[in-house]
Amino acid sequence: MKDKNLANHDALLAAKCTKGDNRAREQLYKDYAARVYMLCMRYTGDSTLAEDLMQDSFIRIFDNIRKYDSNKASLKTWISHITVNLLIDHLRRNKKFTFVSIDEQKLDIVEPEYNSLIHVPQDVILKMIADLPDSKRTVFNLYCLENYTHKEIAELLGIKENTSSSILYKARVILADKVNAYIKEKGL
Amino acid sequence: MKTDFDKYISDQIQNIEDNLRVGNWGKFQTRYARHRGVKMVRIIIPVVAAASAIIVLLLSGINRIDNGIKRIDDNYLLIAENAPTIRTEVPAFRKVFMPSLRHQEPTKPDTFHIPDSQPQIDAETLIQENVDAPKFEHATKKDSIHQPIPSYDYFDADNDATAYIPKKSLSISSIGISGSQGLVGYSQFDMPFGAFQLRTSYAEEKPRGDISHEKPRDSILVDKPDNIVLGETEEVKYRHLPPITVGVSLAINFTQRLVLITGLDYSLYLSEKKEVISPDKVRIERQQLHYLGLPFRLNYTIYSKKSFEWYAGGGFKVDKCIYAKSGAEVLKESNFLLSALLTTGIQYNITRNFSIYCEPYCSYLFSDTGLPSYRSEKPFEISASLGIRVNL
Repeated sequence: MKDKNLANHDALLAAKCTKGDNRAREQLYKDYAARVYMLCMRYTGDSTLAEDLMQDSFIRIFDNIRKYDSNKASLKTWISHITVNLLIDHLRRNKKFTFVSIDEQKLDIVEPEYNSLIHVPQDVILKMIADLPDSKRTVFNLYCLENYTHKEIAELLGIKENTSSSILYKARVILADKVNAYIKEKGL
Repeated sequence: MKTDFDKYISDQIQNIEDNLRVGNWGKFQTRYARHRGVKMVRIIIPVVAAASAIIVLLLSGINRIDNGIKRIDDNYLLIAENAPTIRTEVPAFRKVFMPSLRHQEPTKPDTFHIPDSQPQIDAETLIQENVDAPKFEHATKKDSIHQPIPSYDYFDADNDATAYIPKKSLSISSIGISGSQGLVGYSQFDMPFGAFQLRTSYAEEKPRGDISHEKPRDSILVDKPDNIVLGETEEVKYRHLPPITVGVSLAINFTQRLVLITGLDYSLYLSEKKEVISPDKVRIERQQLHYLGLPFRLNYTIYSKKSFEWYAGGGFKVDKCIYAKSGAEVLKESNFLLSALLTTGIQYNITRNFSIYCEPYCSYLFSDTGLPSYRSEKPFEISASLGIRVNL
């Protein structure tokens, strides 16, 4: 029931935006600005650039809002897809990607314990993700946060599935190391 | 496969998103408007290019017609409209728009319609009948209408049967020759050496076949050409044709219902200018005014269902004359035309960006025009337009 209401709400909002209703556009912008900004921030790791890309993303969203089909996906998912595609385009255009397959067997991953993890502030976690190399950050975001499969990531980035999974693994190792180091440093 | 670490990170990110307040709607609006402006320019440029191409094609077509008219204007400026017995069966448009057609059919001279009791005779017959006319000795200076009738074989028969009189013959040299063959008409041809042009007239006074050497009543020849000075006209009359307007229309949505309509219109105003030079002589010129117009109008959508929209709106339009010509003379019209208009119309959206529309409108012209035209004669206009609209 809730999903149906949400779908109707999304469809109505999108229809109004399609017709040029400025209030509807403002509503959509305010509803999804944080989501879009966080996506931009996670993929670029630069707040100024993230803000700029957020605006670009909304321009693309409003230019294409007539293509949105509420039967296929929620507005949030559709907006996320538009934004991720824009971000990938941006990263690719700026040649940020260097994908190198990594042998997973040679790397050990020591994940931090949950009890320690909860004491790590959110902004620190965000900073750790932002500090990841571009390719690793992108794959990590796509897989862990946007719920893409390795197959989808491979198609999107033009890499092999194995490469995607190995990059993800490396990203996790780096993040785990950073979190463990932070926990150790703060004595959590 | 996702680990606990992944899930934790994901939860934390979601938590941040939920509490984050970012985005500046006002700033974004400015940026979006700029983006739409750039987008509009990207659409306008090819549209304007297409419109310009249409205008150039129209102008070149008109120039081609006009060159034909100019050829006639140069040689046949005066028309003996007031000569009471002249009636040609040549349709008016043919005289104006297809002067060359007459020359393409040299073996088919036009026929003349003799009003009232006068019999009809064609030019060929006329020439044939005048073969036996007294031989005309070459006229070398301005003659009066009382000159002896020339032999028509002296003249180029192919150019016979026109109601025009050479313009240059008035100002440079003209020879008036009268004859009577039961009709009144004019014959013109260019002298091959180009020194001057000759004009003949056939003035009906006596019954057909009888050549008059006396006062031909309907002669429209200039008895004393030097006495006539072009430009010193007694009366000027205009006949204005409704304008032809083509253009492109752009719609910029402000809100769901409020739309700014702008674009570029090209209008052609054609007029026929008659100057009565003397009671039996009228000069006819064709006046062309080419205008480019920028309409600015706000439309409010009253009702919409699916792809149909019914709207009403109002605004104004600024027109600027880009080229004006009367006869062979290029004129200058510096005034801007400002008109207000009210409209209602229906629009069918073929795609999101293209629509067809039909809208009756009424407009009122506020500005004074330097050159008379249909609009200056009828400042209040009710009309309708059909078109394709680009929606942005």
